[in-house]
Amino acid sequence: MAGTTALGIVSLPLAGFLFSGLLRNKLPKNIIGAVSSLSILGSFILAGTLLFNMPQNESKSFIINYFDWIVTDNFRISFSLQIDPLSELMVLIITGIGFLIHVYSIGYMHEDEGFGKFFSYLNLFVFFMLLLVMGGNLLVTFIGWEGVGLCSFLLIGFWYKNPAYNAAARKAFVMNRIGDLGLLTGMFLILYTFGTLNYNDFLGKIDADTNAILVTAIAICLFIGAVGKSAQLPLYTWLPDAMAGPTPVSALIHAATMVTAGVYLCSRCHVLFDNSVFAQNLVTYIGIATSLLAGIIGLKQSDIKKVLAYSTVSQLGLMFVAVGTGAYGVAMFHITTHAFFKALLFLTSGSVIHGMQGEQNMLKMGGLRKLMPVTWLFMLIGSLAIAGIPPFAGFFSKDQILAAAFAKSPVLFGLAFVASMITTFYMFRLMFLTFANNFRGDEHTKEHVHESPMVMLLPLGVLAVLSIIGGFLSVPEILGGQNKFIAFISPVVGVLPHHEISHSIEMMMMAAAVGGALLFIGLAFYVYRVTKMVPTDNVNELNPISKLAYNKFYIDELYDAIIVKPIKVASYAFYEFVEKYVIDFVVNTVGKLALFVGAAIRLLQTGNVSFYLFAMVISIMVFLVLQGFVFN
Amino acid sequence: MITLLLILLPAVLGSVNFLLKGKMSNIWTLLVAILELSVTGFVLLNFNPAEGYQFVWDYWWIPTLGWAWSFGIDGLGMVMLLLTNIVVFLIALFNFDKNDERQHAKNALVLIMQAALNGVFTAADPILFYIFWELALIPVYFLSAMWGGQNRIKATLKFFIYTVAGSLFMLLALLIAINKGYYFNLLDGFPELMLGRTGEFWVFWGIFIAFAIKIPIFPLHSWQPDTYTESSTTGTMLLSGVMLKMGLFGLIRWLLPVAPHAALFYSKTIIIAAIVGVLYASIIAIKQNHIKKILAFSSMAHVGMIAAVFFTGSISGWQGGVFQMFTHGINVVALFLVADILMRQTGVADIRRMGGIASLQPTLAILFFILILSSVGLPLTDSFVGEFLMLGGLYSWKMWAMILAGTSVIFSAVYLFRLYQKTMFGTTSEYAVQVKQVSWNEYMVLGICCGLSLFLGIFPNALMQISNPVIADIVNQIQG
Repeated sequence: MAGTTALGIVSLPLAGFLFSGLLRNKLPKNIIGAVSSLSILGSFILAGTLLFNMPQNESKSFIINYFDWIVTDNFRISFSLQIDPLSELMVLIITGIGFLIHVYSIGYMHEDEGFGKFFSYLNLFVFFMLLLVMGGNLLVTFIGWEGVGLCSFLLIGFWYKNPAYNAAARKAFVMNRIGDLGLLTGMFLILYTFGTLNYNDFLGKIDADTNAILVTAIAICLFIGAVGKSAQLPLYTWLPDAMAGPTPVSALIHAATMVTAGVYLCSRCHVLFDNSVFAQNLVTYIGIATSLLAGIIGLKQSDIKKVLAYSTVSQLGLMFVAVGTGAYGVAMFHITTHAFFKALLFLTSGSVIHGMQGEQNMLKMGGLRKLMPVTWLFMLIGSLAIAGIPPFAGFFSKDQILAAAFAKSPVLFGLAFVASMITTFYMFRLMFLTFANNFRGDEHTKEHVHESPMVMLLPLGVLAVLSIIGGFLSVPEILGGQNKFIAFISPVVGVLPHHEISHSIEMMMMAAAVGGALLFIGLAFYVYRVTKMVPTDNVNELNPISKLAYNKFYIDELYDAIIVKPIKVASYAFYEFVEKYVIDFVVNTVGKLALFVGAAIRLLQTGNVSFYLFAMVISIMVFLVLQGFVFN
Repeated sequence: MITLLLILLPAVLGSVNFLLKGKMSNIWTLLVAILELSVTGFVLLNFNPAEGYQFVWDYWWIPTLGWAWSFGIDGLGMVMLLLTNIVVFLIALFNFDKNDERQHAKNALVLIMQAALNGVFTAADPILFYIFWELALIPVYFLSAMWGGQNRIKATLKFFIYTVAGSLFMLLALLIAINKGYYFNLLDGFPELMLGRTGEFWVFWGIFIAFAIKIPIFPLHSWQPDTYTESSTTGTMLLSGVMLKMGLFGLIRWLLPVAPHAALFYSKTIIIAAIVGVLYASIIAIKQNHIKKILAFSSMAHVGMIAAVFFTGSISGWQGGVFQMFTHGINVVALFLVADILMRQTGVADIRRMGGIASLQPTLAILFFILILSSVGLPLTDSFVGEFLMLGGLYSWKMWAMILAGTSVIFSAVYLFRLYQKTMFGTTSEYAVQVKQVSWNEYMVLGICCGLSLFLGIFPNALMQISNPVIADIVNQIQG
């Protein structure tokens, strides 16, 4: 029963992909859009029915083996899906938010000639994403893992006539592949040590007595994969470029679902991290460093989507801080609330871009509150949620991350606090630049600015409601709640580490976070609303530090100089020099040598019989002499 | 008997082509290819993977020298027969609507080549193997030299001399082994030769060089890019699809069992050379602009990994390697077909001059994309299974070997996606505008290859169960 349901959840989007892919030019757009959306809704409903049928055994999980996938004499890997609270949660997020974004896209993509293609890609993405989270072993997860990378590639480069978009698509895929090599290495470490890739089997064999170096190595390898997929240092630079894709893609893939796969993987395999302090520390440091760096860059961007992209990188960093401190449940909780408000933010930004005829530069916006009041309201809700203002969703999850950070070290708490203040500031910078004051674009654009159609606003409304109430899924004990959400997934990701923070300190932290956020909202209000400052687009007017942030700390240029260029030079040198002047030279010399020897020997063939006789006699004499002296 | 039929049928019926002209010859060739494929299918239906050699044909030839007409099919041979006869069928299908100069001769050569290849993969006697090995060179030489690009004569002559020179070393090695009184026949079981240390040294390197040139293993590869680029597409398909697999097949059938101690002793050197070749070819492919050159270096990178894994002694690695020999063969044939279509229709070979073909020919673009994904090794395509098992085999040998070879997975994404984006995406160029509807037979070839790729990616067992038992036996005996 559960096996059929699980298969149904995965198959519906695949069927939708085939339907809209094959019939994309034969059916009207609305039918394609409706069928694609309904296929995701179907999965969501199926997943919903599972919620009432969750496995009640000790490990709270069902594993369904469908068939043997790869069979060798050394090991056997089956095609299996797993249903447990963690995969169930992810499935609900993916299909729920996925459905809303599908509906939104019907409006957003309506004028696009690639409408059918777009929906088939989106469905394919959901299919792979579901495989990723439902895979019963690492290799099935890996199918989804690479598959979502593929869909990301296709959707970033969706408008394929633009070479810059194609480059961004390729960059995303390649950087993900670098991480994937780490993941692959980790898989071999697991496979050849434990003989299996089934999560429940190998994770069950790891405890404090397992070889510590091995556990650390595996954990780091999996984390390298996560770093690629979840855009952390040093592999984060693809995500801002990925904004080349249509905005619903940014919302679904590059905010709500795919980029959280790394956090998901680490949480599922948390036993590895629990048993390796080194790996935990590494995850924490990478997470906090990414969060701060991306936040600082986000402060100086003027493209509305780029700001949101850096904000996503920054939030993912905070999730990894939670992972590194052992609070996996909190990380998953933040994934959930982040999915709500970040999808909302991206889609509202899409609504803005849609209204602005494709303009993404905030410096050319302004005053849109009157022109797009609903969009403004929804985006404000999203911004308050990400800023962590109670009772919006972000408040509850972020607060728990800060508490987990504090339990590890006050310094870590301080850094995470700074990161979240930066977030608040640039989000409200974005809000005021976009919606406040007067319109800064040209007259022609202004005439056409319009509120988005209902098909786009309705999904936004649902996400706005979720961004308001989503946090109540897991109200911490200190606020009189029971942390129900975290209790639900704790059979898989483990209970929260117990820490000795008194209630008063925790209350103070909470107050500081909220107070700080309000302060920075006020600051943004003053700078961008009251003084009506508009940031300059002229790099030369910036002070050196702003200039660094504006230019993204030249990280792309650095990678280009130390990795891309050398490989290109090597490619050129190998082909033009090594290939032609070393390898081929040797080969041709050998060939010429043969010709030369042949030509030399040919001179002996004079045709003169007396010479042949002479040679024969000499040879026989030499032979006899050798026979007599040497061989005896 | 049926084994002999597999060899004689295409040779005899193929020669009939010399009596036919143009279209008739194409129809006849396709019919023969289908007949041959059906015979192969019949063999497969009656094949038992758990047994060793089956369908044996064994008669004395020159008893005083110990030579015999010994043919037989085991799991490994079965997979190679499937590959050969599917590829020849695809080539016949591809040529169906072509009418080049001396088309009938081209068709005849393809079928004669098929006969020789079937001989290579079923011969159980070393001299017999050698004869078919050399025989296969003749038709492919003419296929490459008589039709193709402007520099084809020069390129193929180099290829010819290079491989003949390599083959002579193999003959020498085989004669050394035989002269030591160890005439062997694989029908009698695993050849446990007592060649001694120096004897094995000479035999090993002699045979190895012949195979290494054919595969090719770095640094013996320099004939390959030019030959692939300049040959006729039919010639390139046979070379890359099947002929280079002869070298890989030779490694595990004729080299490692014959000289296992030397193979173990030199395994590190060879694995390193092969991996260097994988990276070398991958890096070169990044900056190439000639569509066939990219495919040639890509093929070299993919095949190098198979060669490396055969020296690790990992059973699952070997099983993945043999699987990959098949999947790479099918995939590369389809990729060269796409290259042929694009070059023929645009009139240029430089990918920077193409562009925007996806909007003109969406179906072609989709099929090409699936082939690219398969080449990149995306899960659910067949190449992923092979690459996963091979990287696992390298890992079980040395972790660094796996990581180094694994970087080729990153590079392949770089150069293959670049190839795809430059040709299919971007704005439509003046050359790309000329791309017309692809003919039905070419679509069929591409469709079959894509279908096989996805089918075997999801159900690799369909193929692996044929060869897995015999591979496990061979590895165990080599290590035993």
